[in-house]
Amino acid sequence: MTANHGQRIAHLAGESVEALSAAERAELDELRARLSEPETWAEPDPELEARIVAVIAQEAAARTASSRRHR
Amino acid sequence: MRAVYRSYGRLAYAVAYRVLGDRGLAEEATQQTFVQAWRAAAGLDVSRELGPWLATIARRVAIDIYRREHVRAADTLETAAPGDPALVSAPASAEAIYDVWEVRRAVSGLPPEEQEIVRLQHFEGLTHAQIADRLQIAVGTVKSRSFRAHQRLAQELGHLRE
Repeated sequence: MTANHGQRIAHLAGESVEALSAAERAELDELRARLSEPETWAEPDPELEARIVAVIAQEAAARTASSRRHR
Repeated sequence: MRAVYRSYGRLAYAVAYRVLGDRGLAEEATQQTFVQAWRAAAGLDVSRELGPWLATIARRVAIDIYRREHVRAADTLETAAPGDPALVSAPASAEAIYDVWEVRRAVSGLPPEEQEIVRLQHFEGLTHAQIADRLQIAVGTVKSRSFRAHQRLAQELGHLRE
């Protein structure tokens, strides 16, 4: 027995669907499990972008200064 | 680099969080990922996709931090907290990391109102009725948004067969 699109989506969305085969259910449940994991939703600190840009700018400046000294 | 971070920062963070299970360490790994990517950018093959390349760097950096924390925890095992990332399972496989990256990318592509419903449903474990109550919208609206969101996710992630 193979479920249609709507039945597969309904199962993914959390509804009870009888028509799914065990393989289909397992495949969709794997995605459901991923959607419940913290890494799917965790957000980095909004300041992280500025910190990364600052570190790279600092390193770029040091690199430029170093190449000038070696000329 | 700012533009690259805005496109891939959350994805790199998700990969690092999957490996490390700790927000602070995941941020450290994300920072190192972008610094290493910037250092290596001159030698990057322009035909290569940026996303998978960054995911590979993020995984490698996170595993290095995981190992560092593991050594640190081995030194202080008696005082380590139960949730210490160094005390839990081994680092995620490359395949698992790819899944994390893809799911996070697909979720990020949803309209915000659909993303919120999927998050409340799966991450917070709320029913459609509870979500409707939380968001002050009709249950029917929750159901239709949920269906559309899951349809997009399934299509994006290849969980739909014709």
